[in-house]
Amino acid sequence: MNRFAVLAPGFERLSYPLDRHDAADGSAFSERSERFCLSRAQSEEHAQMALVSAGGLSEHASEPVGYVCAGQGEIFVVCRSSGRKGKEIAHDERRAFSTAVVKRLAALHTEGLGCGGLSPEAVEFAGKQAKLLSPLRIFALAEGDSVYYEAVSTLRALVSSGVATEGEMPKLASAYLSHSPVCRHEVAQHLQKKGRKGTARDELVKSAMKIIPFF
Amino acid sequence: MQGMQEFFRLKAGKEDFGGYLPLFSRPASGVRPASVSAVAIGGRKFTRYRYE
Repeated sequence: MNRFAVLAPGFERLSYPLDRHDAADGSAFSERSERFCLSRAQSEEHAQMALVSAGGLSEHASEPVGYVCAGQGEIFVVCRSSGRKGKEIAHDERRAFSTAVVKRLAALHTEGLGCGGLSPEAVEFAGKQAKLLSPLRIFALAEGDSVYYEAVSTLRALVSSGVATEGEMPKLASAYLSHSPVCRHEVAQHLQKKGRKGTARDELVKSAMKIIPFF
Repeated sequence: MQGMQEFFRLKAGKEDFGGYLPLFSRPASGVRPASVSAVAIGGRKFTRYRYE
């Protein structure tokens, strides 16, 4: 049984389903043919930040419309979902989906934002665009954060989940690098420091195949 | 009407709406009393529903 819910104007109707729906991370419910997903927040303050900053992140993540406090006191952000999750993607759409995921990562990095890497389960796919299911995963990149690691773990997650094949990795790495000048620069520096030859794309693919799947 | 509600009043004898705004259709079952209040977060208004 949930304790309370805070809802944005226009979404007051969700107070009924949220009363009946036991909140849990990753759970979803439908209301008037719209789908809503719940994502765990660290605290009520984090959930409030997601609500207030929703406008600035709408290009990258699904829209938060409120949050709910579960019986144990855990807070979950409620987001309006307009796409399909990774596991719902048809076989013939997988390539477009994978490309959309790496382009989303590149767009985040170009704006100085990080997300810890993207797994197919963390994004939704609609209109050839991939968006994060929860805006809570987005953070401002700091000096020491590595966009390279996020790119490598994303590529690895796409392959290990079966959404992309190993053979598609170079193309996905190219798609990411062509949209992410930040990471391209970082890899070029890394290669130079190590005195290695080769392209940024090859280095990215090689690293992705070396790491143990994180997601 | 889907906008922000500052408050609402219930007619005598209609208190069994239990905090749900009568403007919206009531759930078929499992109605529990809830209190509704307005909260401001970051300069924006939201509605808080307490389920108890």
